[in-house]
Amino acid sequence: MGEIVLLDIIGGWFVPGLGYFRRRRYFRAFILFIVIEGTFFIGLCLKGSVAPPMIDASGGGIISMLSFIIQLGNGLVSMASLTSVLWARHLLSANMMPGSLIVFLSGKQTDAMYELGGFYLLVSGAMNYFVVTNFYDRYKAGRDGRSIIEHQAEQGSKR
Amino acid sequence: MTMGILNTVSLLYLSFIVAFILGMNDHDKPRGVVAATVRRWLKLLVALVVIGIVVRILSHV
Repeated sequence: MGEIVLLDIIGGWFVPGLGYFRRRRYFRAFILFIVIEGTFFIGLCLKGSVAPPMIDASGGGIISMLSFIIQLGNGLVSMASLTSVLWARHLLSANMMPGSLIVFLSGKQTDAMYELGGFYLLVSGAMNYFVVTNFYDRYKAGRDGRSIIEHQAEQGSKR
Repeated sequence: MTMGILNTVSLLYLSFIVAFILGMNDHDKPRGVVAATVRRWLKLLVALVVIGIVVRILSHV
């Protein structure tokens, strides 16, 4: 039970809370899923999207690249949004209209709320990175899923 | 909804989400999560308001 399975880590990155779900911590998994995916959904409603980074010779591309990496923290839906952006561009360049789901997932870069929506996606991705790394911390070295604070308190009481 | 209200609501919501997730990471029991979340959220809001005031002042200098 205390061993970390790679599937938990990768799965937790793809679907927030999946690692806890597999460890039968359903309530924690459910809360994390709702909060992280809910934030991502609000970002999409604000016309945000996971856009590929812009390569800027002046160095401005660094922020864009960092934002892109953090936005990918939400795994599956982040990749769905990124794929939709690329697919929508491809379709529009061929004078074809993308479907409603692709339009929703690919956002609208010219919209006034695009940057704010992108920020929601950024926070969502960053929070999932934190959750996945915390999951690793909780299950490494025989901690058996306890938080670091509680683990340290237990170690202190044993001494 | 005007952009100002939307930005303010986003500030409150996103700072809460950050505080809540970090609180859940740190604690197992609901009482610990709530206490850590409220403490972190208030600190974060105060820090953000201070940053906002500094930016506001500097933009008028």
